[in-house]
Amino acid sequence: MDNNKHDDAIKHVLVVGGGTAGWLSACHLAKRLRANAADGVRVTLLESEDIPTIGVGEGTVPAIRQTLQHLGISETDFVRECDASFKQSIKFVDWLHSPRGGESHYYHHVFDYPDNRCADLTRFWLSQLEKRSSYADAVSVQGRICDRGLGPKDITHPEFEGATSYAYHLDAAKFARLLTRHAVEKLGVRHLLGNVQRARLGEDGAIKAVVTDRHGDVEADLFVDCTGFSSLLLGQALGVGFIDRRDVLFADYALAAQVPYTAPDTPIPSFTIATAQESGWTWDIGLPARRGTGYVYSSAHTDHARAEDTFRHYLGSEAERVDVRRIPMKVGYREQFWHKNCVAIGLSQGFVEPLEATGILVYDATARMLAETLPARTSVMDLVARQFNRHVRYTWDRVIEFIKLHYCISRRDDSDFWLDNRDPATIPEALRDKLQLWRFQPPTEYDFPSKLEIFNLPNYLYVLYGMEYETSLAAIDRHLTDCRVAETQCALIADVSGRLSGQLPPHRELIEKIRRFGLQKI
Amino acid sequence: MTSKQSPKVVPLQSNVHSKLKVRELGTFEHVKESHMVPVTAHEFTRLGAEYPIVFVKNSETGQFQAVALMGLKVGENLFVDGDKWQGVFVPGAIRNHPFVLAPAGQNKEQLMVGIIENSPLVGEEEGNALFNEGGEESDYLKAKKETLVNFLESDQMTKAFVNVLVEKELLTPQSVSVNAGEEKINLSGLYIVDEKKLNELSEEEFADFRKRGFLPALYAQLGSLHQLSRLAKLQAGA
Repeated sequence: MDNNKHDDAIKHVLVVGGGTAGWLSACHLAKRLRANAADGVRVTLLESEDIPTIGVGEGTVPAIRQTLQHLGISETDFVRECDASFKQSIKFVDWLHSPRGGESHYYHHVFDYPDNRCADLTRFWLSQLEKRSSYADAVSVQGRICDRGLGPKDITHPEFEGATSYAYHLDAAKFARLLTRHAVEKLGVRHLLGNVQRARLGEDGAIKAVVTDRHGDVEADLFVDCTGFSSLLLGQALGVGFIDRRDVLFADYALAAQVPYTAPDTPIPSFTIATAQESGWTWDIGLPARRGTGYVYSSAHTDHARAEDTFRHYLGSEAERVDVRRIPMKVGYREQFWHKNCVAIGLSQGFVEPLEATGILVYDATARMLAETLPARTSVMDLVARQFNRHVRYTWDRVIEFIKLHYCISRRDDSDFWLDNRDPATIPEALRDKLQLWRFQPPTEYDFPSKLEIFNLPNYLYVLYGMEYETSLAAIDRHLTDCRVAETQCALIADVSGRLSGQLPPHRELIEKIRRFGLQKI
Repeated sequence: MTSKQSPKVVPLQSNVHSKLKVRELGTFEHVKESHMVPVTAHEFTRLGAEYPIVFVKNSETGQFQAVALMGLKVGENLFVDGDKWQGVFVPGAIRNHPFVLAPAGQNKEQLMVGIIENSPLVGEEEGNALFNEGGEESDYLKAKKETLVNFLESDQMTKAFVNVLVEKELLTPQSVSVNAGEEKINLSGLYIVDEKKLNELSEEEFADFRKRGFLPALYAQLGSLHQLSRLAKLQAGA
C-alpha cells in the first residue's frame, strides 16, 4: 500500500467540552496515544468559558481507583484537591416499603463482594428463614464498618488500597480542575478556550472542523463530543437521534442543593444515602466541607412546587436557607454513540438518574474503551465504531435494567409513582425474565455473561436480597451448601468486622490525616 | 522513669533548670520496653552487624521510619539486661536520653532543646551540671547540644533517604516468621529494601545512588536481616 498517497493516519483528536467527561476523555486518549511524545497523536481540548458544567456528579464506584492509578494521579493529591471523601456503599432507605409509624427500612449495597470462598453464603442465607441478619451483614464486613462511621482504610494503608473496597465522593468542579492540570502538565493535552459556533462537514458527511469564535477553524481527524445534554456535534451537527427511556425510568428532573455542616467536626458517612420519596428519591453525599444533596423525581407524578416541598422536608430546618437548583434530565441515550468521525462521551452520549453513580462510571469506561480501541487509520474507523456502538448500547441497556430493578421489586404503595414502576409493561423484558427465574433460584454468574458487564452478580445480590426478594430454594439447592461450613464462615465475618472496627479510624479523622500527612505509595 | 509514667518533656531554660544535673547513662531502663528504636541511615552499617534494620510505618501518620529491631515481641527489648546493654553499638536515639529536640511551640520549623524531667538520670544531687553558677551553659550541655544537632541532621537526611526509596518504590512489605525455640513468632508491618527492584535500577539511577552515598545503607539493611536469627536465639534464651 502506498502510505504517502493515502495518508489516513489519525494524527489529531479534538475533545469539545471541559466538564468531567471531557477531561476524563482527554486524559485517557492522551495517555494511550502518547500525546506528549513527538511521534504521538495530538490531543486538544476545547472548553467554553461561557457554558457552565452541570457539575452535580459526586459519586463514583471502585473502578475510579483503577482509573486514577492508570492515569498516574496520586490518591493523596486527589483527596486533597477534590474535597473527596470515601464511599463504601450506597445505603438505600425506605425502598422496600414507606416508613410505617416512624419505622424505616434500610439496606447497604456495599462494594466488597460477598465472601463465598468457603461456602455459598447466599444459598445459606436464603435457607435461614428465621432470625437472620441482613444479607449484607451475612456475607460481608462492610455494612457494619459503614454503620459504625468508619473509613475503609487506615493512614498506614498504601495509596488505593484499603481494608475494604471503596470509591469516592468528590466535588465535580474540583475534580475537573485536577484532571485539567494533569492532562495539560503531565499528559500533553493542548487546552483551548473558546466557543464552538458550528461544525463544518466534509463531502463524506464527517466533521472536517469546528468553527470557533477565538481560534478560527479547528480541524481534527476525530472529534469527541463532550458538550453535555446539548450534544453539539453528534446530536446537532450530525443529526444522530436520541432514544428516550422515560418509558422505563420515570424520573426526569432533579433538584440539587449544597448544604453546609452545622459543626466543622460533624461525622461524614462513608456511603451515599439514597432515600425513597413519594415520587422519586433523594441523594445525600457527605464531602469534608459540605453535603451535596438532591431530589430526583418524575414530573409526570408530581409538580415542581410539591417536589421542592418534599425535598425541603427531607433537608429539614437546618437547610431552610439553602438555594435549590432545578435541573431537567434527558433520560436515555443516542441512537449511535460513534458516527463517522465523531464519538459522544458524557451526557451527550446518554444519561440515567444517578441512583448507582453511573454517570462518571459509564463516561470513564467508555472513554477508556475509545482510547483503547481507537484505530490508527481512518479507513477502519467504521469497523471500530460499529463495535463501540454495540458495546455502549449494551452497557446502557444493562444499566437501565439495574436501576429499574430497584423500583420494580419495591413494595411501596404510597403513590402512583411506585405502583406504575411495577407495571410489567414498564419493565424491560430481559429483566422480567430474570426476575421470574430468580423466584426459584438465586442469580448465578451465568446470568452475567459479558466481560464488559458494569453491574455484576454481587451488585444484583445486594439489591435483590437487601430488598428481601423472595427466592424459594428447591430442596436440591438446600443440599448444595454445607451449612456448618457456611455458619462458621458467617461467624468469622462477624468476628473480622469486630476486629476491623477497632483498627479503622472514623471517616472524617481518616480524611484529615490524609490531608495532613499524605498516604504512602507503598 | 518508670514504665507507667509517660516521659515529661519540658523546654530547657537556664532560669528554671539552673541547678539541674544529669547522670551519665548507666541504665537502659527508658528503652526496656522498646522492641524497636528509631535509627539513622548513617548508623546502618554499624547497626547491621548486630541488629535487624527494617522500615515501619508510624501508626499515627503513616510515614515511614527506619528502626532497629531490639526484640520480637511488643514491649520486650532483648538487649537490656538490668543496667547493662547486651550489645556493642548503642543507637544514637538511645544515647541522647534524657535530652530531646522538640518543636518550639507553634512554630514547627524551630526546634528547642528539651529535657525529660522525670527521668531517673535527672536530679539536683549528682551528675553533670547543665549550667554554671553564672547561669551559662556548661561544657557538658554544649557538647550534648552539639550531639543532638548532629543527630537531628542525620535524622533529616534519613527521612530524605527514605522518601527517595518510597518514591522509587524500592521498599516492599515483608512478613517475618521466626522460630524462637519452641515458639513461632510472626512479625507484620515490616518493610525492607526490594532487592529485585534495586538490581533493576538504571545505570543512571544507580550511579546517582552511589554519588549520594545510599549504597552502603541499602546493602547494610539487606544484610542486617540475618540478625533476626540472633534475636531468635536471644528470645529463646529469655
